[in-house]
Amino acid sequence: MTSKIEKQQTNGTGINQENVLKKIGKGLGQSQAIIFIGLVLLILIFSYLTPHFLSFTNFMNIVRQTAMIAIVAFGMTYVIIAGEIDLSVGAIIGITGMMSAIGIQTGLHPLLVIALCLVLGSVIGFINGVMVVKVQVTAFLATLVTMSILRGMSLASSPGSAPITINSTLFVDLATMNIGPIPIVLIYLAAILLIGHYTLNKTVFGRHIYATGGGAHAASLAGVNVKRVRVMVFIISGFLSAFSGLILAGRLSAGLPDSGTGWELDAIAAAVLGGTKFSGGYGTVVGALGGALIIGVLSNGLTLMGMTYAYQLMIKGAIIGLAVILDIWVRREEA
Amino acid sequence: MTENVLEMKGVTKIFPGMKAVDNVDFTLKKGEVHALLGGNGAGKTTLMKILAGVYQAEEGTILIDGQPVQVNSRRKSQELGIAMIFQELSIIPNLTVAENLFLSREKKKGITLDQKRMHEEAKHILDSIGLHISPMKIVKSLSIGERQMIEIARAISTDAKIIVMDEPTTALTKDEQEKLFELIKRLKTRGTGIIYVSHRMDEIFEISDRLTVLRDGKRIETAETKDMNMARVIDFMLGDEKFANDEVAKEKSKNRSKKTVLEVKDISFKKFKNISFEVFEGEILGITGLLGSGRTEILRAIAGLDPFTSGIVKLNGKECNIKSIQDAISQGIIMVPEDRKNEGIIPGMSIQKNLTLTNLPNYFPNGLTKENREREIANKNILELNIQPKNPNKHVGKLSGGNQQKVVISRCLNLKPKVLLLDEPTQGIDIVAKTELQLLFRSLARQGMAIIVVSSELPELVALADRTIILYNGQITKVLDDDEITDKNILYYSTGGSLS
Repeated sequence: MTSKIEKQQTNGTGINQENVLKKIGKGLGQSQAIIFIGLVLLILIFSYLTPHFLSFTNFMNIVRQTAMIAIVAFGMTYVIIAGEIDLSVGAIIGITGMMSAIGIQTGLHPLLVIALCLVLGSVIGFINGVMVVKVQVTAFLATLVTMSILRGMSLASSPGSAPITINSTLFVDLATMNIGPIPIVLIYLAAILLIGHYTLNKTVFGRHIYATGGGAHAASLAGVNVKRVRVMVFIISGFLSAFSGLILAGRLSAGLPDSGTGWELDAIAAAVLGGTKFSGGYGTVVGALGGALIIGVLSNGLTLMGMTYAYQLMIKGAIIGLAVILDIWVRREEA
Repeated sequence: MTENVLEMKGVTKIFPGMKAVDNVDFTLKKGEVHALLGGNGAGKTTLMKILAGVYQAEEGTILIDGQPVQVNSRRKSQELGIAMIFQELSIIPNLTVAENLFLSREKKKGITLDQKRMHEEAKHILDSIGLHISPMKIVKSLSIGERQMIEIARAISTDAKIIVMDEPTTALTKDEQEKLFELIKRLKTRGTGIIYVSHRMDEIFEISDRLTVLRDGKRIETAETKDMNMARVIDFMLGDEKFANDEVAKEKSKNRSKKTVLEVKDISFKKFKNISFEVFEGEILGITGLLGSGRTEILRAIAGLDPFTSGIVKLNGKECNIKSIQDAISQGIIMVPEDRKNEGIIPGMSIQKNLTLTNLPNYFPNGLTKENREREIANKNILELNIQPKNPNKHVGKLSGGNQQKVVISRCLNLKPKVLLLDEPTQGIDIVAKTELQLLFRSLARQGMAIIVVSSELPELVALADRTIILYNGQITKVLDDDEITDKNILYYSTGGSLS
């Protein structure tokens, strides 16, 4: 649908600007269009306020910082669309960072370490899913439990909770190298975005995720294996968090026991800013990318303006609040 | 002349696309029981919700004790002395009886609750209606009937002048029902006006002084109950629907196949015991009984939702081991659920996506969906069942009840069911769509499908069913055949007629 409308727009001649925007907006879904308009506005404001903001180097900086949050936010989007929540993503980033550092320290091959960490993330996601589906703990509590235990394990995994350096050029390169002028993380991000978007929109599994969040009873009566869908989205979220954790460890050339702290909130914020509804059944990964970019641009721009982290947090909170209120208004009008 | 405690004049309520209540006059005298009747969607509930302050009428006036009033909120309605006792009880199970009675008007001593006074007053209220329950009891431990009495006690404790009872006896036993009627008589002598909403003719003729029949939002008739009889009331209630039902009934097949498609043998679960029956090829089998008789539970068990614990189900002579919904679907046993909004549709999804949901893995075995193919299937379904609007991208949540139901049924038919289980398939659906659906069921049966219809609407069963099973307290009390399926017979057996 979306691509068709856009194609028509680009092929057609003499269509006025407003109409194009409207159609694109419709194709993206209303709340998503708002996000990207907001993003452009933010960029314009920062470009005006600080001279260093509008440059290729700075944009690539933003991308490097944002990519990891965005990847976690994609997983979070899947989870929220299915009507659940995953608070353990930050702790998974912490534990994979530590485990990769320890693994490489003990002399395992970096590629094997990467594979093991990705499996670890998926297994944690599976455990979250099983707690929700089989034990029937609410997702909020189940993932709060894993979050706490995993963070404790990260802190305990190193004496004195000290960082562990990673001495592997291959491992670090895989996270930080550039291909031409493009940072490799941008390629990871693009690939995951494409796969994530395609899966949601073009596969039976994706449809089942929307159906599960949109009306679990009806979906289950229609023969959708709702339980399996729920477990799957937690696995996906765990896997992507581990992926993100590996990139972060590579960038830092070290495993930090407290890395990823608070990321669950950024990931949820990115998803919600991107138009994913907390009640489940709606949302897109493209929107989540927009949400993550807004968060990234905000912190980058505010830092360049010399604002401290304390004020950044307040401004970030206010903007997310504003977006959520806007979203509720839009929804009310639709109803 | 007795004084009118309530007068509603020219009340009209418009919902998108329909007049739910259309210029209705309604009066209630002091100490009177006024029965309100009508089929599903006749406007009874809407009219009562206007009185409760849940909806605001577009037109019309409401007078209480001769004074014009504005009932613009639930609270305002309560302040005016109107109490509602709905089918779904509104008392809180984990509070005590006294706490429930004084909910939101708790007695206080300074800033703390005055438990002692509340208990005393609660005891007094309960005694005054002849209900001997300790006010300290947790409501959860009471029977449904007792809980309903507590609701009535609450209404009395607020000095309600008008009490609306919506289907108050559905969940009651015979004993409890008698108690309720005694209580109603006691309330009458106090001068309380009672609006009694019910489907059950026998009760209405027993307890009411006057009755009003609504149909399609309009008032059809108001009369003294003693001047009426059941047949006339039913005629008033059905109107054109009587003709529509006759249309459907005409389609019943004369020579029926004796080939058993589904055989249910001795199945039991929580709410039903040792249920056995057969459904033949091309037959529509009705199942009915009061709320709580197990009618829905049996259907859900066969459909794999709440699998039964003992007994077997055979399909075409072969035992089918149904442990989950997927099991039932894969063997061709498909259910259309009663709770359309929660279990039938996914409101935020388009018509197209709702239609293809069940069969998605079959249409796209490699797991990748194709927009064009999906659109094709959806458009075909839309045409076949005349789903309005004919736009596959419209969200299902925005359709009328009838069209939502068509989407759900169409989705089920895509699976080519051998046995179709329908739970209240035309509940809350307008007469046109209703007749369309009933004719559809008949034509499906003619093509050999075995169909089970669970319904609490007697005229529907009379028109549609070839045979009807009647349940009482989780057991089959009677199987009615062809011409035996009448309103009177169904009522008689479903209230335990054969047992008492």
